[in-house]
Amino acid sequence: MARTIAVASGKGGTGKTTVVACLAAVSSEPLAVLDCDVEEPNLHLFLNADWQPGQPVTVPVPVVDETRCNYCGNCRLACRFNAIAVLPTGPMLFPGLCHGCGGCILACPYDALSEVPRPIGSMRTGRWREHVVLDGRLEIGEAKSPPLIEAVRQAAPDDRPVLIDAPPGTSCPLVSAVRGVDYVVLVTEPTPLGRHDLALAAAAARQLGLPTGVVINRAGSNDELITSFCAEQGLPVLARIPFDRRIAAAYAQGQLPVEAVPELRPLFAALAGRLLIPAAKPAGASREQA
Amino acid sequence: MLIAISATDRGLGATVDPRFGRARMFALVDSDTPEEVRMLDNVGNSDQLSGAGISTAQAVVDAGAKVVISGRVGPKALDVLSAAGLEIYTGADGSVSDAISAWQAGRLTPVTEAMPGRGMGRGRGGGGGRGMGGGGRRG
Ligand code: SF4
Ligand code: SF4
Repeated sequence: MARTIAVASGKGGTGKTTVVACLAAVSSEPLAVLDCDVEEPNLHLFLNADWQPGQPVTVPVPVVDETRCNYCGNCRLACRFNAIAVLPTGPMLFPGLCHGCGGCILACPYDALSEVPRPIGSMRTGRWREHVVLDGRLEIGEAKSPPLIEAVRQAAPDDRPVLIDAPPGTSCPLVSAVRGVDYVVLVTEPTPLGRHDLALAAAAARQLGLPTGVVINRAGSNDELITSFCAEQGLPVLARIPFDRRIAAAYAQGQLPVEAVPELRPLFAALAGRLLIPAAKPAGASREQA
Repeated sequence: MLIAISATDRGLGATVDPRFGRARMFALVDSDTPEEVRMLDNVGNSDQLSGAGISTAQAVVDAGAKVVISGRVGPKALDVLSAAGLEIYTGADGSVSDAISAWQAGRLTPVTEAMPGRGMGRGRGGGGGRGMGGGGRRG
């Protein structure tokens, strides 16, 4: 089984996507690279892939045939998520709360409910160099990203290692993107806020029982803030990406840091080797620590 | 006309509960007989993990209220209440009877939220409620 690695961070803007793009750029073997940050997918800005047309991703929601409904309210009582109100004007659905379980449809004694697909976003597949790239894009205003994140993960080819750009934060979208992966890489910065967000993300990964390591971005004289936390928690520091103005300049132009700053190549090549080569466990990352 | 006021305890002297969806109970008062009060227990709705505002609004609609008075009303509860045609007033505090007097004196803020989109057209994103129609035609 090919390995699945997720790159995450407690908040946005830590350089998570840059790390994913650089790992893809230096990887010695073909990967599936997934942008699961579906609220703000931006991997495509770095990996200028050949994209196939996007496909809609839908979730099932109930609709009512008003000629059959007699307002009995059974559908509402059947819904564990309180996603339905039954008013004198008819049943009213709150799609943001609906989990598409179909319980209301079974509960309706008058066959007034049926299921229709509701689009929540789209996903697409592309090729970038030897890699397969997938990304998902949530519709504006859509509240629920987990079904889209799961659709992107399911569409990944299983014959090669998978590298996931996870959504920032520590809530449901992150959990959907990292659940069941072999290893989580948390990208952080050596600032008090970075340490704070890292602590939240590390706690989430621990709760899911996932082996975890840390990459310090914009590393420099304050790394102690992060390294001390990692030592306390038994988390390996996998790499330190030095602070370098040329990286920020490359980022601004959508250029890959490993290409703009060649000295970074060995650093990312070593990281890719540790993380992605099948059967080689990342150093210092035993399951017992999880 | 039946008025529902979110309350922390029983009776007209109880304090108004500032949160609609998480209110422990509602005082039901008929505007023709404002000295009489009936209580509607809401604990079974307010402690729901998902959609507390929706099931609370449903209970208030089912109780036959035409006016709702509370401190704040969340967006989903507002969708249900306005779709059912209730008048909603927020910013109430003090006791239940204070709130009724304030309402009678026109001192409470009416919530004039546009009705959410009906039918299968997109409402207001994933959070908003909408009618479930679209499967058939009334005839
Ligand atoms: S499909 Fe399930 S979650 Fe959605 S409204 Fe029906 S019962 Fe509720
Ligand atoms: S269970 Fe069926 S008939 Fe009863 S209110 Fe719901 S849709 Fe209407």
